[in-house]
Amino acid sequence: MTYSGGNPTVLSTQARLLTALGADIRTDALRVVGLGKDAGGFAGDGEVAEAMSRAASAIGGVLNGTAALVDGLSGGASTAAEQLRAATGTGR
Amino acid sequence: MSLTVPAGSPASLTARADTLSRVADNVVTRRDTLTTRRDAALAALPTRRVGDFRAASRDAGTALEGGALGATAIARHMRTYADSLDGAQAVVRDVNRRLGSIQRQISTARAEEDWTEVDRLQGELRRERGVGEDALEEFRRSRRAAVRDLNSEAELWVPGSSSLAPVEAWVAASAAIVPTSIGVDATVLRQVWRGVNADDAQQIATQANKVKAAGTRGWQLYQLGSYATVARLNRNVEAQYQAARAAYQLAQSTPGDLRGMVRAEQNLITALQRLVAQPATQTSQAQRLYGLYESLVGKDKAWDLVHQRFPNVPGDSIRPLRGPLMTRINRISRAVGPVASKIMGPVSVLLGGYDIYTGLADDTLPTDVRASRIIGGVGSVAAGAATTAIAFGLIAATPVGVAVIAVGSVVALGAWAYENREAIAETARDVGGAVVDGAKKVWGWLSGGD
Repeated sequence: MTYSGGNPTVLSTQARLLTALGADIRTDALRVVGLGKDAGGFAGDGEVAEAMSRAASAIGGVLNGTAALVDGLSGGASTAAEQLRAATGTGR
Repeated sequence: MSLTVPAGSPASLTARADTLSRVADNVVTRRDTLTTRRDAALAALPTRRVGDFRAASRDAGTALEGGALGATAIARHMRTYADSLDGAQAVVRDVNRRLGSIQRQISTARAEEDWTEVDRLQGELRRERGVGEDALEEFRRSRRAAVRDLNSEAELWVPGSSSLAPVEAWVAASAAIVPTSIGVDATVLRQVWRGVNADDAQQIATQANKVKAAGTRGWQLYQLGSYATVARLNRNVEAQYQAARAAYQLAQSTPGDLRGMVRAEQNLITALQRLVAQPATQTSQAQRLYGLYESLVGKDKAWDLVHQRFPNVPGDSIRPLRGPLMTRINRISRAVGPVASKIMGPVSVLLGGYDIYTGLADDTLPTDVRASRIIGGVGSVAAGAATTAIAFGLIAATPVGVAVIAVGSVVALGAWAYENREAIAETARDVGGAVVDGAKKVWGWLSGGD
C-alpha cells in the first residue's frame, strides 16, 4: 500500500534486489583482486607482479567499498519500508 | 654466451587481462542496474528520505564508474606488458639460436685454423648479440612503463600507495569509499585478501561473506557519515589533473627538453581523460562554465563569476589550456566578444521585433512565411535579450541563459532558412545541414552531453 509518498512493498522488493546487487559487486571486487594476484604470478618479474597486484587490489577495494554503500542503500530501503508499515499498522 | 630470455607467460597474462576486461564490463552493468533500483526506490520512498538516498546512490554510481575505468586500464596495461614480453622473448630466443649456430661455425673454423673466417664470424656474433640486447633494452623500458602506469592507477585511489603492499592498498581503497563513520575492519579485510589467490568462484564466495561483515554497519550509520568522504573519488582525479597540468606548464617553460615536453603532454592528456570521465568534478564544471561565460562577458568577468561559484578550484585551473595559435585566436575573440555582445544583442532584439511585426501585419505574405517569420523573430528577440542582459551584467550568465541564446539563434536561423528556402542553392542546403548538426552538438554540450 502507499502511504505519505512511500510504498513499503516496492521498497522491500528493491531492498532485496539491492542486497543482491551489493553481493554481485563484492564478487566483482574479489575477482579483480584475484586476477591481479594471478596475473602477477605470470609477469615473470617481482616488481611488475607487485604493481599488478597492488593496482588490482586498489580497484578491488574501490568496488568493495561500493558494495558497502549499496548494502547501505538496501538497508535504507528496508528500514523505510518497516517504518512505513509500523506507521500504517499494516504489519509485515 | 647466450642471452637470458625474460621470464613470464605472456599468453597467461593476456588471458587474465581479457577476463579482467569482462569483469569491468560486468561493473558497468552493475552501475546500470543500480540506476534502475535507485529510480524504483526513490519513487517509493517517503519524501524526507529521498535526498539522502539519492546522494548515497550517486556516490555508489560514481565509484562503480571509477572501478570499471580502473579495471579496464589495468587490463590494458597488462596486455601492453604481455605484448612487450612476448616480443622480447621471441627475439631473444631467435638470437640465441643464431648465436649457437655461429659459435659452432667458429669452433669449426678454429679447428680448420681459418682465422679470417673466425674474425668474420665473431663480427656476426657481436651484431647478433646487439640485436638481442636492443630487444632486451626495449623490454626494460616497457617494464618500467608498466610499473609506472600500474602504480599510477593505484595512486589515483590511494595516494601514496605505490610504496604500500598490495593488501594495504586494498584495505585503504575500501576505507576510502565508505563513510568514515562506518569504518572497515582492516583485520578481516586483510584475511579476506589473503584468502583470494585467483579468479576462483569457490574461494571468492567464501571470502565474500567475510568481507561483507567487515564493511557494513547499516543505513543508520551511513546516514551519520559525511558524503565528503566519497568526494575523494573526484578529488583524487582532480589532484592528478592539477599535478599533470603544473608539470606540463613547467615543461612548456623549459625550451629544448622535447622529450620532457612530450611526456608531460601525454601525462596531461591521460589525467584530463580521467577528469572528464568523472561527471561531477569541480574543475571540469568550472572549466565548462568558464567556456560559456568567456565569449559573453570577457575573460576577467568570466573568471570572477566562476571563481565565486567554485572557490575551491585553483584559479589557474579555471581557464582551459590552449595551444599558442588557439590562444591568439581566443585573445581576439575575447577582446571583441563582450563589445559585440553589447551591440549585437540589441540589434538582434530590434530585428527580431521587426520580423514579428511584419509576420503579424503583412497579409500579402503567404501564411507559412508569416508563421516562420514570427517564430524566427521570437527566437531572435529571446537570444538578443539574453545576450544584452548578460553582456551588460543585468543578469548573471547561467547555462540556462546561454542556452536561450544558442537555441534562440538556431530558431532564428532556421526560420530565415525556411523563408528563403527556394533561393538557397544545393550547396547552401548542405551548409544548413551542417549548421543544424552543429546546433544539436551545441545543445548536447549545454545540456551536459558530449
